Amino acid sequence: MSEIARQVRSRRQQWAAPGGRHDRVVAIAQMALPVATGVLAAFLVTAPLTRVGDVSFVLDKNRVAVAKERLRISKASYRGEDAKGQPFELQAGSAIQKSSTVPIVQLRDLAAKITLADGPATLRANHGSYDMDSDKIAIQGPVEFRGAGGYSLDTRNAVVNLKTRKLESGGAVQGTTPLGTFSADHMQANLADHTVTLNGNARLRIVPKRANRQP
Amino acid sequence: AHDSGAPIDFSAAHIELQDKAKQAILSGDVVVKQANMTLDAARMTVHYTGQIIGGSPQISRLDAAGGVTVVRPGQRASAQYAVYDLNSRVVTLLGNVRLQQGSNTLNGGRAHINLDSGLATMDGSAVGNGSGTTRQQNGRVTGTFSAPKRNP
Repeated sequence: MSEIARQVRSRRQQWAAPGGRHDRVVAIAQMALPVATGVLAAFLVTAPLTRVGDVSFVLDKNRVAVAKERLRISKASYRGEDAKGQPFELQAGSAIQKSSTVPIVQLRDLAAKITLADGPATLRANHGSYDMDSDKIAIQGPVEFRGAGGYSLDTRNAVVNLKTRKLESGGAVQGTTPLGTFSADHMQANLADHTVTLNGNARLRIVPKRANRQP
Repeated sequence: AHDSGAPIDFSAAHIELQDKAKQAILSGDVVVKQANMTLDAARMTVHYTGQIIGGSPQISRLDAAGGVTVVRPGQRASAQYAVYDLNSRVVTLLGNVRLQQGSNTLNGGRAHINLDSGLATMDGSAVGNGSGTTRQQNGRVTGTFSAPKRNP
């Protein structure tokens, strides 16, 4: 056999000889491995008992943020034309349409700008639901209409028809116009020519000029 | 005296406010109250001037028609038509006017009640529009007065 072979064999013989490196590794393993398996077994036995939180989770449909409405716009602006072709613009802080089948858009702090014969007019309200088919806004709560020439009409809970420029109260109504404050069972106002028609025990209070003495 | 600047309360079955025409039309047993004066009529038109000074409209005239009664402390008048002019503060009554003041009554064609002095002047000139006005003995004024009894 060659010299190298003899050297290689002897190195392997030293490695395998008793008290060599291999024996030390086996001695350590002989003691360490059983201890490791015991510790692992102990951990596996006690682990489920000491578990703190619910580790598993289920994706809950209600708690996940599902967009309920079909359309949500903030700072919405809608432009249209009325029967006579005069433009109107409807702006709202937020506009929500529940579903595509229902053409009703819920508006919040809305302002409608209408151009009338005698000039631009604005109509403001906090809540309104705008029916896109009939161009009507059903307003809940206060309604403020400011026309040209200082004309004003403040009332509550009215339906505004943007096509015919008419405003109608749902039921009993109060309001003020430049002439005075009124209340009635039903009210219809024509925003174009500034007329208010009150029906059903109508009341009107006018406070004329204090000293009405004209020469 | 009557304060024509006091707030006026109207109540009626129907009211139409016409801002451009500067008037309001009331119909259906109209009752108007101002201070201590009450005016009832079947129909009424309120005229006001355009300028809104300090937020209060300048009411110029109330035209009442159809069974008008005017009730003031100590005075009660009824007629077919009445015109209450707020500027001159006179209520003019037309068409078989009947005026009761205290226990005295006066009938005639026309009457003017001056709200400042409370003075009512009556004249017999019949209202010229023909239909519905009865001639009071060709325009005379009739009246019954009752003198208080002198206790002896």
